[in-house]
Amino acid sequence: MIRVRDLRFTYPKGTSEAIRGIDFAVAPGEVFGFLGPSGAGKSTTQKILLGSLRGYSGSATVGSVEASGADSRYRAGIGAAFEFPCFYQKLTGLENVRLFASFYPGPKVDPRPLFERLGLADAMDWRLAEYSKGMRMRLNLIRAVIHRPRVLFLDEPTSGLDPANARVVRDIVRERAADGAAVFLTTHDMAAADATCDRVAFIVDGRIAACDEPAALKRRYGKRAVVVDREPGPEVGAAAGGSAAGASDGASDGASEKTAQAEYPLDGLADDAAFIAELRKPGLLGVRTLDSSLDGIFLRLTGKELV
Amino acid sequence: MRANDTRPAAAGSRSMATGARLVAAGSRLVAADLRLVGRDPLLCIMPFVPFLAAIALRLALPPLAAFIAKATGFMLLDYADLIRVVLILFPGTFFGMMSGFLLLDDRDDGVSAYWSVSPVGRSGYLAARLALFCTAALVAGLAVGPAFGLGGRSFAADASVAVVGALQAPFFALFLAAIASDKVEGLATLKALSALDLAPLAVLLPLPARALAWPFPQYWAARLALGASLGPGTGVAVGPPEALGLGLAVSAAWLSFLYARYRRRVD
Repeated sequence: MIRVRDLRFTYPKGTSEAIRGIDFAVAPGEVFGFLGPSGAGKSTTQKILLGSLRGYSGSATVGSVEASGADSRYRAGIGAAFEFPCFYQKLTGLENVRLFASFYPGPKVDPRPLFERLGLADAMDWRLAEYSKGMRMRLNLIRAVIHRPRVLFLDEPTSGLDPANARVVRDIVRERAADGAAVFLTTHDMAAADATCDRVAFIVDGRIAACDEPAALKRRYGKRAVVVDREPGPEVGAAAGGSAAGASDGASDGASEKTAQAEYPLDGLADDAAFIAELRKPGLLGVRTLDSSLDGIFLRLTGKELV
Repeated sequence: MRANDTRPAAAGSRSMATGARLVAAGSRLVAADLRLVGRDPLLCIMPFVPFLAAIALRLALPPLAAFIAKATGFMLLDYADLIRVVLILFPGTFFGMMSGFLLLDDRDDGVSAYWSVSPVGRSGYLAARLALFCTAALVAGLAVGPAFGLGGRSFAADASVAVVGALQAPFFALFLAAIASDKVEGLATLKALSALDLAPLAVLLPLPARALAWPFPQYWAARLALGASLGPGTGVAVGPPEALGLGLAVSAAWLSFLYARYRRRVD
Protein backbone atom coordinates (compact mmCIF):
# COMPACT_ATOMS: atom_id res chain seq x y z
CA MET A 1 0.00 0.00 0.00
CA ILE A 2 2.86 2.36 0.92
CA ARG A 3 6.14 1.91 -0.90
CA VAL A 4 9.22 4.08 -0.49
CA ARG A 5 12.33 3.55 -2.57
CA ASP A 6 15.63 5.41 -2.27
CA LEU A 7 13.78 8.46 -0.97
CA ARG A 8 15.90 11.58 -0.62
CA PHE A 9 14.89 15.10 0.31
CA THR A 10 16.66 18.37 1.04
CA TYR A 11 14.77 21.39 2.33
CA PRO A 12 15.12 24.49 0.12
CA LYS A 13 17.25 26.30 2.70
CA GLY A 14 18.91 23.14 4.01
CA THR A 15 22.59 22.46 3.60
CA SER A 16 22.33 18.70 3.87
CA GLU A 17 19.79 15.99 3.06
CA ALA A 18 17.00 15.55 5.60
CA ILE A 19 16.19 12.13 4.10
CA ARG A 20 19.15 10.15 2.79
CA GLY A 21 17.91 7.28 0.70
CA ILE A 22 15.40 5.26 2.68
CA ASP A 23 13.45 2.19 1.58
CA PHE A 24 10.46 0.53 3.19
CA ALA A 25 6.99 -0.78 2.41
CA VAL A 26 3.80 -1.04 4.44
CA ALA A 27 1.30 -3.72 3.42
CA PRO A 28 -2.49 -3.51 3.81
CA GLY A 29 -3.43 -4.57 7.32
CA GLU A 30 0.00 -3.74 8.71
CA VAL A 31 0.86 -1.25 11.46
CA PHE A 32 4.29 0.18 10.69
CA GLY A 33 6.03 2.16 13.40
CA PHE A 34 8.43 4.89 12.32
CA LEU A 35 10.62 5.66 15.30
CA GLY A 36 13.44 8.05 15.84
CA PRO A 37 14.58 11.17 17.68
CA SER A 38 13.35 14.65 16.81
CA GLY A 39 14.84 15.91 13.58
CA ALA A 40 15.66 12.43 12.30
CA GLY A 41 13.31 12.70 9.32
CA LYS A 42 10.06 11.13 10.58
CA SER A 43 7.82 14.13 9.93
CA THR A 44 9.52 14.89 6.62
CA THR A 45 8.85 11.36 5.39
CA GLN A 46 5.26 11.59 6.55
CA LYS A 47 4.75 14.97 4.84
CA ILE A 48 6.12 13.56 1.60
CA LEU A 49 3.74 10.59 1.79
CA LEU A 50 0.82 12.92 2.58
CA GLY A 51 1.62 14.84 -0.60
CA SER A 52 2.47 18.03 1.31
CA LEU A 53 6.18 18.11 0.41
CA ARG A 54 7.36 17.81 -3.16
CA GLY A 55 10.74 18.09 -4.79
CA TYR A 56 12.05 14.78 -3.44
CA SER A 57 14.04 12.22 -5.38
CA GLY A 58 13.43 8.49 -5.43
CA SER A 59 9.90 7.20 -5.10
CA ALA A 60 7.16 7.45 -2.48
CA THR A 61 3.84 5.90 -3.46
CA VAL A 62 0.53 5.28 -1.74
CA GLY A 63 -1.64 2.76 -3.54
CA SER A 64 0.72 2.88 -6.56
CA VAL A 65 0.23 6.65 -6.96
CA GLU A 66 3.33 8.82 -6.60
CA ALA A 67 2.98 11.25 -3.69
CA SER A 68 4.26 14.16 -5.79
CA GLY A 69 1.10 13.81 -7.88
CA ALA A 70 -1.24 13.75 -4.88
CA ASP A 71 -4.68 15.03 -5.84
CA SER A 72 -8.07 14.99 -4.14
CA ARG A 73 -8.59 11.31 -5.01
CA TYR A 74 -5.20 10.40 -3.50
CA ARG A 75 -6.01 12.35 -0.34
CA ALA A 76 -9.52 10.86 -0.13
CA GLY A 77 -7.96 7.47 0.64
CA ILE A 78 -5.85 8.82 3.47
CA GLY A 79 -6.63 9.51 7.11
CA ALA A 80 -4.24 11.67 9.09
CA ALA A 81 -3.85 12.63 12.72
CA PHE A 82 -1.17 15.22 13.33
CA GLU A 83 0.78 15.41 16.57
CA PHE A 84 -0.87 18.73 17.39
CA PRO A 85 -4.62 18.33 16.86
CA CYS A 86 -6.10 21.15 14.81
CA PHE A 87 -9.82 21.89 14.89
CA TYR A 88 -12.23 24.78 14.61
CA GLN A 89 -12.38 26.12 18.14
CA LYS A 90 -15.88 27.55 17.79
CA LEU A 91 -17.42 24.31 16.55
CA THR A 92 -18.30 21.37 18.78
CA GLY A 93 -16.44 18.08 18.70
CA LEU A 94 -19.19 16.38 16.73
CA GLU A 95 -19.56 19.33 14.33
CA ASN A 96 -15.83 19.29 13.65
CA VAL A 97 -15.79 15.56 12.94
CA ARG A 98 -18.86 15.75 10.71
CA LEU A 99 -17.56 18.78 8.81
CA PHE A 100 -14.25 17.16 7.89
CA ALA A 101 -15.87 13.79 7.19
CA SER A 102 -18.33 15.39 4.78
CA PHE A 103 -15.56 16.00 2.26
CA TYR A 104 -14.60 12.33 1.94
CA PRO A 105 -16.47 10.12 -0.50
CA GLY A 106 -18.01 6.80 0.46
CA PRO A 107 -19.60 5.47 3.63
CA LYS A 108 -18.55 6.78 7.02
CA VAL A 109 -18.35 5.21 10.45
CA ASP A 110 -21.01 6.42 12.89
CA PRO A 111 -19.00 8.80 15.10
CA ARG A 112 -21.15 8.43 18.23
CA PRO A 113 -19.91 4.95 19.26
CA LEU A 114 -16.32 6.16 18.77
CA PHE A 115 -17.00 9.19 20.97
CA GLU A 116 -18.36 6.84 23.64
CA ARG A 117 -15.51 4.40 23.35
CA LEU A 118 -12.94 7.14 23.69
CA GLY A 119 -14.68 8.67 26.69
CA LEU A 120 -15.92 11.73 24.81
CA ALA A 121 -19.66 11.02 24.79
CA ASP A 122 -20.39 13.82 27.26
CA ALA A 123 -18.14 16.24 25.38
CA MET A 124 -19.58 15.57 21.92
CA ASP A 125 -21.51 18.84 21.94
CA TRP A 126 -18.85 20.92 23.68
CA ARG A 127 -17.00 23.51 21.66
CA LEU A 128 -13.36 22.61 21.01
CA ALA A 129 -12.17 25.51 23.15
CA GLU A 130 -13.43 23.50 26.15
CA TYR A 131 -11.50 20.32 25.25
CA SER A 132 -8.31 19.35 27.09
CA LYS A 133 -5.22 18.23 25.17
CA GLY A 134 -5.99 14.58 25.79
CA MET A 135 -9.56 15.02 24.58
CA ARG A 136 -8.32 16.69 21.39
CA MET A 137 -5.92 13.82 20.79
CA ARG A 138 -8.79 11.34 21.02
CA LEU A 139 -10.95 13.49 18.74
CA ASN A 140 -8.00 13.62 16.35
CA LEU A 141 -8.16 9.83 16.01
CA ILE A 142 -11.93 9.86 15.42
CA ARG A 143 -11.50 12.36 12.59
CA ALA A 144 -8.70 10.29 11.06
CA VAL A 145 -10.66 7.00 10.96
CA ILE A 146 -14.23 8.20 10.40
CA HIS A 147 -14.09 7.81 6.60
CA ARG A 148 -12.50 4.33 6.69
CA PRO A 149 -9.24 5.34 4.99
CA ARG A 150 -7.11 2.73 3.23
CA VAL A 151 -4.00 4.37 4.64
CA LEU A 152 -3.74 5.92 8.08
CA PHE A 153 -0.96 8.32 9.13
CA LEU A 154 -0.79 8.78 12.88
CA ASP A 155 1.70 11.09 14.57
CA GLU A 156 2.12 10.43 18.31
CA PRO A 157 -1.46 9.17 18.70
CA THR A 158 -1.07 8.35 22.40
CA SER A 159 0.69 11.56 23.41
CA GLY A 160 -0.88 13.12 26.48
CA LEU A 161 -3.26 10.19 27.08
CA ASP A 162 -3.73 8.27 30.31
CA PRO A 163 -2.96 4.52 30.09
CA ALA A 164 -6.62 3.52 29.79
CA ASN A 165 -7.32 5.86 26.87
CA ALA A 166 -3.96 5.04 25.28
CA ARG A 167 -5.04 1.42 25.29
CA VAL A 168 -8.35 2.21 23.60
CA VAL A 169 -6.47 4.22 20.97
CA ARG A 170 -4.13 1.28 20.34
CA ASP A 171 -7.12 -1.06 20.09
CA ILE A 172 -8.80 1.18 17.50
CA VAL A 173 -5.58 1.38 15.48
CA ARG A 174 -5.29 -2.42 15.51
CA GLU A 175 -8.93 -2.74 14.46
CA ARG A 176 -8.39 -0.43 11.51
CA ALA A 177 -5.43 -2.55 10.48
CA ALA A 178 -7.52 -5.71 10.86
CA ASP A 179 -10.00 -4.04 8.53
CA GLY A 180 -7.26 -3.81 5.90
CA ALA A 181 -5.84 -0.33 6.43
CA ALA A 182 -2.10 0.26 6.20
CA VAL A 183 -1.08 2.27 9.27
CA PHE A 184 2.02 4.48 9.34
CA LEU A 185 2.65 5.47 12.93
CA THR A 186 5.35 7.85 14.12
CA THR A 187 5.98 7.98 17.85
CA HIS A 188 8.43 8.39 20.69
CA ASP A 189 6.31 6.08 22.83
CA MET A 190 8.21 2.81 22.56
CA ALA A 191 5.68 0.94 24.70
CA ALA A 192 2.91 2.00 22.31
CA ALA A 193 5.03 1.02 19.32
CA ASP A 194 5.81 -2.34 20.86
CA ALA A 195 2.18 -3.02 21.68
CA THR A 196 0.72 -1.78 18.39
CA CYS A 197 3.17 -2.23 15.53
CA ASP A 198 3.74 -5.28 13.37
CA ARG A 199 7.07 -3.83 12.28
CA VAL A 200 9.09 -0.83 13.31
CA ALA A 201 11.84 1.14 11.62
CA PHE A 202 14.35 3.29 13.50
CA ILE A 203 15.32 6.36 11.52
CA VAL A 204 18.50 8.16 12.48
CA ASP A 205 19.88 11.21 10.66
CA GLY A 206 17.69 10.57 7.63
CA ARG A 207 18.62 6.89 7.30
CA ILE A 208 16.86 3.74 8.47
CA ALA A 209 19.18 2.13 11.00
CA ALA A 210 17.03 -0.95 11.65
CA CYS A 211 13.69 -2.29 10.47
CA ASP A 212 11.96 -5.46 11.61
CA GLU A 213 9.28 -6.90 13.87
CA PRO A 214 9.65 -5.61 17.45
CA ALA A 215 10.21 -9.12 18.80
CA ALA A 216 12.92 -9.84 16.22
CA LEU A 217 14.67 -6.55 16.99
CA LYS A 218 14.52 -7.24 20.70
CA ARG A 219 16.13 -10.61 20.15
CA ARG A 220 18.75 -9.22 17.78
CA TYR A 221 19.80 -6.42 20.10
CA GLY A 222 19.31 -8.43 23.28
CA LYS A 223 21.35 -11.20 24.93
CA ARG A 224 20.57 -14.92 24.67
CA ALA A 225 20.43 -15.47 28.38
CA VAL A 226 18.09 -15.61 31.35
CA VAL A 227 18.45 -13.93 34.68
CA VAL A 228 17.25 -15.44 37.93
CA ASP A 229 16.20 -12.82 40.46
CA ARG A 230 16.34 -13.85 44.08
CA GLU A 231 16.26 -12.33 47.48
CA PRO A 232 19.85 -11.59 48.45
CA GLY A 233 21.67 -14.36 50.32
CA PRO A 234 25.23 -15.57 50.85
CA GLU A 235 24.93 -18.42 48.35
CA VAL A 236 23.68 -16.41 45.33
CA GLY A 237 26.95 -14.90 44.27
CA ALA A 238 28.57 -18.33 44.39
CA ALA A 239 26.04 -19.91 42.01
CA ALA A 240 27.93 -22.51 40.04
CA GLY A 241 27.84 -21.81 36.33
CA GLY A 242 26.02 -18.54 36.81
CA SER A 243 27.41 -15.06 36.90
CA ALA A 244 26.29 -11.89 38.54
CA ALA A 245 24.02 -10.34 35.93
CA GLY A 246 24.28 -6.75 34.94
CA ALA A 247 21.61 -4.63 33.43
CA SER A 248 21.32 -5.05 29.69
CA ASP A 249 19.61 -2.44 27.52
CA GLY A 250 17.27 -1.56 30.28
CA ALA A 251 15.97 -5.13 30.61
CA SER A 252 16.83 -5.16 34.31
CA ASP A 253 15.32 -1.75 34.95
CA GLY A 254 12.47 -3.22 36.93
CA ALA A 255 14.68 -5.19 39.32
CA SER A 256 15.14 -3.84 42.82
CA GLU A 257 18.63 -2.77 43.83
CA LYS A 258 18.43 -5.25 46.68
CA THR A 259 17.61 -8.16 44.36
CA ALA A 260 20.38 -10.67 43.71
CA GLN A 261 20.72 -11.77 40.12
CA ALA A 262 22.41 -14.64 38.35
CA GLU A 263 22.67 -14.99 34.58
CA TYR A 264 22.60 -18.24 32.58
CA PRO A 265 23.04 -18.70 28.82
CA LEU A 266 19.86 -19.61 26.95
CA ASP A 267 21.58 -22.35 24.92
CA GLY A 268 21.47 -25.64 26.83
CA LEU A 269 19.46 -24.07 29.61
CA ALA A 270 17.31 -27.17 30.14
CA ASP A 271 20.45 -29.22 30.92
CA ASP A 272 22.18 -26.52 32.96
CA ALA A 273 22.47 -28.08 36.41
CA ALA A 274 23.50 -24.79 37.99
CA PHE A 275 20.38 -23.10 36.65
CA ILE A 276 18.18 -25.94 37.94
CA ALA A 277 19.88 -25.70 41.30
CA GLU A 278 19.37 -21.97 41.36
CA LEU A 279 15.65 -22.44 40.84
CA ARG A 280 15.46 -24.81 43.82
CA LYS A 281 17.01 -22.37 46.24
CA PRO A 282 14.76 -20.39 48.56
CA GLY A 283 14.00 -16.75 47.87
CA LEU A 284 13.29 -17.08 44.14
CA LEU A 285 11.65 -13.90 42.84
CA GLY A 286 11.49 -14.60 39.10
CA VAL A 287 13.18 -15.61 35.89
CA ARG A 288 13.42 -13.29 32.87
CA THR A 289 15.08 -13.24 29.48
CA LEU A 290 17.58 -10.61 28.47
CA ASP A 291 15.76 -9.55 25.34
CA SER A 292 16.35 -5.91 24.65
CA SER A 293 13.50 -3.39 24.91
CA LEU A 294 12.59 -0.94 22.15
CA ASP A 295 13.69 1.83 24.51
CA GLY A 296 17.10 0.20 24.75
CA ILE A 297 17.34 -0.29 21.01
CA PHE A 298 16.35 3.33 20.47
CA LEU A 299 19.09 4.45 22.82
CA ARG A 300 21.64 2.17 21.22
CA LEU A 301 20.83 3.19 17.64
CA THR A 302 20.29 6.89 18.15
CA GLY A 303 22.51 7.61 21.11
CA LYS A 304 19.69 9.71 22.50
CA GLU A 305 17.59 9.23 25.62
CA LEU A 306 13.82 9.22 25.26
CA VAL A 307 12.04 12.02 27.06
CA MET B 1 -17.85 2.02 -32.53
CA ARG B 2 -20.53 2.05 -29.91
CA ALA B 3 -17.97 2.65 -27.19
CA ASN B 4 -16.56 5.56 -29.17
CA ASP B 5 -20.01 7.05 -29.49
CA THR B 6 -20.65 6.96 -25.77
CA ARG B 7 -17.23 8.24 -24.72
CA PRO B 8 -17.94 11.97 -25.03
CA ALA B 9 -21.25 11.57 -23.21
CA ALA B 10 -19.55 9.61 -20.43
CA ALA B 11 -16.81 12.22 -20.17
CA GLY B 12 -19.47 14.92 -20.07
CA SER B 13 -21.41 13.25 -17.29
CA ARG B 14 -18.16 12.67 -15.37
CA SER B 15 -17.23 16.34 -15.57
CA MET B 16 -20.78 17.28 -14.55
CA ALA B 17 -20.51 14.97 -11.57
CA THR B 18 -17.13 16.48 -10.67
CA GLY B 19 -18.62 19.96 -10.99
CA ALA B 20 -21.56 18.99 -8.77
CA ARG B 21 -19.16 17.55 -6.18
CA LEU B 22 -17.10 20.77 -6.21
CA VAL B 23 -20.21 22.89 -5.76
CA ALA B 24 -21.40 20.65 -2.91
CA ALA B 25 -17.98 20.79 -1.22
CA GLY B 26 -17.84 24.56 -1.66
CA SER B 27 -21.32 24.91 -0.16
CA ARG B 28 -20.30 22.89 2.89
CA LEU B 29 -17.21 25.05 3.41
CA VAL B 30 -19.30 28.19 3.04
CA ALA B 31 -21.85 26.85 5.54
CA ALA B 32 -19.03 26.12 8.00
CA ASP B 33 -17.66 29.64 7.60
CA LEU B 34 -21.11 31.15 8.18
CA ARG B 35 -21.39 29.09 11.36
CA LEU B 36 -17.95 30.29 12.51
CA VAL B 37 -18.90 33.91 11.86
CA GLY B 38 -22.22 33.40 13.65
CA ARG B 39 -20.40 32.22 16.79
CA ASP B 40 -17.99 35.15 16.99
CA PRO B 41 -19.64 38.30 18.39
CA LEU B 42 -17.11 40.64 16.74
CA LEU B 43 -17.35 39.00 13.32
CA CYS B 44 -21.15 38.99 13.64
CA ILE B 45 -21.26 42.77 13.86
CA MET B 46 -18.81 43.50 11.04
CA PRO B 47 -21.16 42.89 8.06
CA PHE B 48 -23.49 45.60 9.37
CA VAL B 49 -20.86 48.30 9.91
CA PRO B 50 -20.93 49.65 6.28
CA PHE B 51 -24.75 49.89 6.45
CA LEU B 52 -24.69 51.58 9.85
CA ALA B 53 -22.14 54.07 8.48
CA ALA B 54 -24.23 54.67 5.34
CA ILE B 55 -27.46 55.24 7.29
CA ALA B 56 -25.73 57.46 9.87
CA LEU B 57 -24.25 59.60 7.09
CA ARG B 58 -27.57 59.71 5.26
CA LEU B 59 -29.16 61.21 8.36
CA ALA B 60 -26.27 63.38 9.53
CA LEU B 61 -24.75 64.66 6.32
CA PRO B 62 -27.49 67.02 5.05
CA PRO B 63 -27.81 69.03 8.30
CA LEU B 64 -24.03 68.95 8.73
CA ALA B 65 -23.52 70.15 5.14
CA ALA B 66 -26.04 72.97 5.69
CA PHE B 67 -24.25 74.02 8.87
CA ILE B 68 -20.83 74.01 7.15
CA ALA B 69 -22.19 75.87 4.13
CA LYS B 70 -23.66 78.53 6.36
CA ALA B 71 -20.51 78.86 8.42
CA THR B 72 -17.84 78.62 5.71
CA GLY B 73 -19.53 78.59 2.32
CA PHE B 74 -18.04 75.14 1.63
CA MET B 75 -20.52 72.87 -0.20
CA LEU B 76 -19.93 69.44 1.33
CA LEU B 77 -22.74 67.79 -0.61
CA ASP B 78 -20.92 68.58 -3.85
CA TYR B 79 -18.73 65.65 -2.82
CA ALA B 80 -21.61 63.23 -2.17
CA ASP B 81 -20.61 61.15 -5.20
CA LEU B 82 -17.14 60.65 -3.78
CA ILE B 83 -18.46 59.83 -0.30
CA ARG B 84 -20.79 57.31 -1.92
CA VAL B 85 -17.78 55.64 -3.62
CA VAL B 86 -15.94 55.36 -0.30
CA LEU B 87 -19.03 53.80 1.30
CA ILE B 88 -19.57 51.30 -1.53
CA LEU B 89 -15.94 50.20 -1.11
CA PHE B 90 -16.41 49.69 2.64
CA PRO B 91 -17.93 46.17 2.52
CA GLY B 92 -14.85 44.89 0.67
CA THR B 93 -12.70 46.14 3.54
CA PHE B 94 -14.92 44.72 6.29
CA PHE B 95 -15.62 41.37 4.68
CA GLY B 96 -11.91 41.11 3.88
CA MET B 97 -11.08 41.74 7.54
CA MET B 98 -13.49 39.00 8.61
CA SER B 99 -12.08 36.57 6.11
CA GLY B 100 -8.52 37.53 7.02
CA PHE B 101 -9.08 36.93 10.72
CA LEU B 102 -10.61 33.53 9.98
CA LEU B 103 -7.57 32.67 7.85
CA LEU B 104 -5.25 33.81 10.65
CA ASP B 105 -7.18 31.68 13.14
CA ASP B 106 -6.98 28.67 10.86
CA ARG B 107 -3.29 29.18 10.22
CA ASP B 108 -2.53 29.53 13.95
CA ASP B 109 -4.69 26.52 14.87
CA GLY B 110 -3.19 24.39 12.08
CA VAL B 111 -6.58 23.84 10.42
CA SER B 112 -5.33 25.14 7.06
CA ALA B 113 -2.54 22.52 7.19
CA TYR B 114 -5.15 19.83 7.82
CA TRP B 115 -7.21 20.93 4.83
CA SER B 116 -4.12 20.47 2.68
CA VAL B 117 -4.13 16.69 3.37
CA SER B 118 -7.89 16.36 2.86
CA PRO B 119 -9.63 15.96 -0.51
CA VAL B 120 -10.51 19.67 -0.39
CA GLY B 121 -6.85 20.71 -0.58
CA ARG B 122 -5.48 24.04 0.56
CA SER B 123 -6.47 25.76 -2.68
CA GLY B 124 -10.07 24.54 -2.52
CA TYR B 125 -10.44 25.65 1.07
CA LEU B 126 -8.98 29.07 0.32
CA ALA B 127 -11.03 29.51 -2.87
CA ALA B 128 -14.31 28.72 -1.07
CA ARG B 129 -13.57 31.15 1.73
CA LEU B 130 -12.46 34.00 -0.51
CA ALA B 131 -15.37 33.44 -2.90
CA LEU B 132 -17.87 33.58 -0.01
CA PHE B 133 -16.60 36.88 1.36
CA CYS B 134 -16.05 38.35 -2.11
CA THR B 135 -19.66 37.57 -3.07
CA ALA B 136 -20.95 38.92 0.23
CA ALA B 137 -18.94 42.12 -0.30
CA LEU B 138 -20.40 42.52 -3.79
CA VAL B 139 -23.99 42.13 -2.57
CA ALA B 140 -23.37 44.47 0.36
CA GLY B 141 -21.60 46.96 -1.92
CA LEU B 142 -24.63 47.07 -4.20
CA ALA B 143 -26.92 47.64 -1.21
CA VAL B 144 -24.86 50.29 0.56
CA GLY B 145 -25.34 52.95 -2.16
CA PRO B 146 -29.16 52.99 -1.86
CA ALA B 147 -28.81 52.87 1.95
CA PHE B 148 -26.73 56.07 1.75
CA GLY B 149 -29.23 57.63 -0.67
CA LEU B 150 -27.10 60.67 -1.53
CA GLY B 151 -25.03 61.24 -4.67
CA GLY B 152 -24.62 58.54 -7.27
CA ARG B 153 -24.64 58.96 -11.04
CA SER B 154 -26.00 55.63 -12.25
CA PHE B 155 -26.56 52.03 -11.20
CA ALA B 156 -23.82 50.98 -13.64
CA ALA B 157 -21.33 53.25 -11.89
CA ASP B 158 -22.35 51.98 -8.44
CA ALA B 159 -22.19 48.37 -9.64
CA SER B 160 -18.73 48.86 -11.17
CA VAL B 161 -17.45 50.35 -7.92
CA ALA B 162 -19.04 47.44 -6.02
CA VAL B 163 -17.19 44.96 -8.26
CA VAL B 164 -13.82 46.63 -7.60
CA GLY B 165 -14.77 46.86 -3.93
CA ALA B 166 -15.65 43.17 -3.75
CA LEU B 167 -12.15 42.30 -4.95
CA GLN B 168 -10.81 44.14 -1.91
CA ALA B 169 -12.21 41.36 0.31
CA PRO B 170 -9.64 38.78 -0.90
CA PHE B 171 -7.03 41.56 -0.96
CA PHE B 172 -7.48 42.35 2.75
CA ALA B 173 -7.87 38.66 3.66
CA LEU B 174 -4.69 37.57 1.92
CA PHE B 175 -2.78 40.63 3.12
CA LEU B 176 -3.60 39.78 6.74
CA ALA B 177 -2.89 36.07 6.36
CA ALA B 178 0.30 36.57 4.35
CA ILE B 179 1.87 39.38 6.37
CA ALA B 180 0.65 39.13 9.97
CA SER B 181 2.15 36.56 12.35
CA ASP B 182 -0.85 36.54 14.68
CA LYS B 183 -4.08 38.36 15.46
CA VAL B 184 -2.33 41.20 17.32
CA GLU B 185 -0.10 41.85 14.32
CA GLY B 186 -3.20 41.47 12.19
CA LEU B 187 -4.89 44.35 14.01
CA ALA B 188 -1.80 46.53 13.55
CA THR B 189 -1.69 45.61 9.86
CA LEU B 190 -5.35 46.55 9.52
CA LYS B 191 -4.70 49.97 11.03
CA ALA B 192 -2.05 50.59 8.39
CA LEU B 193 -4.29 49.26 5.63
CA SER B 194 -7.24 51.42 6.66
CA ALA B 195 -5.45 54.34 4.96
CA LEU B 196 -6.45 52.68 1.68
CA ASP B 197 -10.06 53.60 2.41
CA LEU B 198 -9.04 57.17 1.69
CA ALA B 199 -7.35 56.34 -1.63
CA PRO B 200 -10.43 57.50 -3.61
CA LEU B 201 -9.90 60.99 -2.21
CA ALA B 202 -6.71 61.16 -4.27
CA VAL B 203 -8.88 62.17 -7.26
CA LEU B 204 -9.02 65.59 -5.62
CA LEU B 205 -5.23 65.94 -5.60
CA PRO B 206 -3.20 67.50 -8.41
CA LEU B 207 -0.56 65.54 -10.26
CA PRO B 208 2.00 64.25 -9.44
CA ALA B 209 0.68 63.65 -5.88
CA ARG B 210 -2.36 61.90 -7.33
CA ALA B 211 -0.10 59.31 -8.99
CA LEU B 212 0.74 57.89 -5.56
CA ALA B 213 -2.74 56.35 -5.52
CA TRP B 214 -2.49 54.73 -8.95
CA PRO B 215 -1.30 51.33 -7.62
CA PHE B 216 -4.46 51.03 -5.52
CA PRO B 217 -7.80 49.78 -6.93
CA GLN B 218 -9.76 52.08 -4.62
CA TYR B 219 -8.47 55.08 -6.57
CA TRP B 220 -9.62 53.58 -9.89
CA ALA B 221 -13.03 52.89 -8.38
CA ALA B 222 -13.40 56.61 -7.73
CA ARG B 223 -12.21 57.43 -11.23
CA LEU B 224 -14.75 55.14 -12.85
CA ALA B 225 -17.58 56.50 -10.72
CA LEU B 226 -16.69 60.14 -11.23
CA GLY B 227 -15.77 59.63 -14.88
CA ALA B 228 -13.28 62.53 -15.18
CA SER B 229 -9.98 62.58 -17.05
CA LEU B 230 -6.65 62.12 -15.34
CA GLY B 231 -6.33 65.84 -15.23
CA PRO B 232 -4.73 68.65 -17.15
CA GLY B 233 -1.25 68.19 -18.46
CA THR B 234 -1.24 64.38 -18.64
CA GLY B 235 -2.57 64.08 -22.16
CA VAL B 236 -4.35 60.85 -21.07
CA ALA B 237 -8.09 60.61 -20.64
CA VAL B 238 -9.47 57.78 -18.54
CA GLY B 239 -13.12 56.98 -19.02
CA PRO B 240 -15.16 54.66 -16.82
CA PRO B 241 -14.41 51.48 -18.86
CA GLU B 242 -10.67 52.13 -18.77
CA ALA B 243 -10.81 52.97 -15.07
CA LEU B 244 -12.73 49.75 -14.40
CA GLY B 245 -10.16 47.78 -16.41
CA LEU B 246 -7.29 49.39 -14.49
CA GLY B 247 -9.05 48.76 -11.19
CA LEU B 248 -9.50 45.08 -12.01
CA ALA B 249 -5.95 44.75 -13.35
CA VAL B 250 -4.40 46.36 -10.28
CA SER B 251 -6.57 44.13 -8.04
CA ALA B 252 -5.49 41.01 -9.96
CA ALA B 253 -1.82 41.96 -9.63
CA TRP B 254 -2.16 42.47 -5.87
CA LEU B 255 -4.07 39.20 -5.43
CA SER B 256 -1.44 37.23 -7.38
CA PHE B 257 1.36 38.71 -5.31
CA LEU B 258 -0.43 38.17 -1.98
CA TYR B 259 -1.53 34.62 -2.85
CA ALA B 260 2.10 33.70 -3.61
CA ARG B 261 3.16 35.23 -0.26
CA TYR B 262 0.41 33.37 1.57
CA ARG B 263 1.38 30.01 0.01
CA ARG B 264 5.03 30.56 0.92
CA ARG B 265 3.97 31.31 4.48
CA VAL B 266 1.74 28.27 5.01
CA ASP B 267 3.56 25.63 2.91
